[in-house]
Amino acid sequence: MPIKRFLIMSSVAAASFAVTAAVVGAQDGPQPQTLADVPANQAAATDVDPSLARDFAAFRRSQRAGEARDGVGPFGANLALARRVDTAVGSVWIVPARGVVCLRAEDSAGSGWTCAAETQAAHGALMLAMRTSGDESGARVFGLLPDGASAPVMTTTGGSTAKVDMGPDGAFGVQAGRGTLEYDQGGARRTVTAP
Amino acid sequence: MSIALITSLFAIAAYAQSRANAVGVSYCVGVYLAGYDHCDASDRHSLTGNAAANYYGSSTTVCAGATLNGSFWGGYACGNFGYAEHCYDGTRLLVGRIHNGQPGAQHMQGAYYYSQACP
Repeated sequence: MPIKRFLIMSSVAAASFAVTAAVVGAQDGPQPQTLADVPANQAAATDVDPSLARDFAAFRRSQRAGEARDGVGPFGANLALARRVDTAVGSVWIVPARGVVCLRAEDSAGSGWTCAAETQAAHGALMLAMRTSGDESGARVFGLLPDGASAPVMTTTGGSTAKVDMGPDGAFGVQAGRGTLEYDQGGARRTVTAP
Repeated sequence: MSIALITSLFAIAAYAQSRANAVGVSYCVGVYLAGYDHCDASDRHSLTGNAAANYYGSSTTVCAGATLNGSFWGGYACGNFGYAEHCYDGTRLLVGRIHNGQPGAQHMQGAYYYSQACP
């Protein structure tokens, strides 16, 4: 009988550990390289991933009053951990997820999100365009640049250019038509297509 | 064992604070969309969220939007790393739409949500 009891207790304990590992382990695994490596629906991130704090200034500062909000976005993006940047075209929330970073902005219909694996965002420029139906000429374009990026300029397909005002958090918001974002990083001039 | 059980309960509680229990419907899965073309879901619903994705493009522009009574409604949210989502308040019967936001064709897929908060 003691052996049977021991086996039952061991099975329960093993099952408990398995559930814990399955749920919590996702945040401790290797960093995803693309969003294909991450389930869109998963538990809320419980803290800011150290790699996010390493690559993005916004996550190295403390949250300010009013930045945290309720709700969980895609990939476990937790608004309770968000940093907000107020730009000339509206606010953008930089939201940490599990190996992923997301941007969120609001419009009259609700909110818009975009996300990228942390690795992708650290080597590129994550951008979210909030477009109005029927108007393809322009959009509110929000972006997040990694540490070390500087001198961003938006160039539309029509050839006009606009200096991008990037704050200390590395985020920006501009009104712009379709085009590209250029910026300096690592001694090179980089060009990214704006959404 | 008690520690394991308590830890598991905390983990399950954290999991509950997620979208893992969202009522999601996939549509236009694997559709190959020409530049700036779109694909609509087959049914309308009181959407709270609609997502567009190309999980396998390294940096592609995808957009998520919706239609109301056959006409485009609200705005598009577009992202440049293959994922975009638009959230709604769930009070209107909308049809989810995914939109190729770039000149080049790409494979995309959509998923809309209802009965699920979308912040």
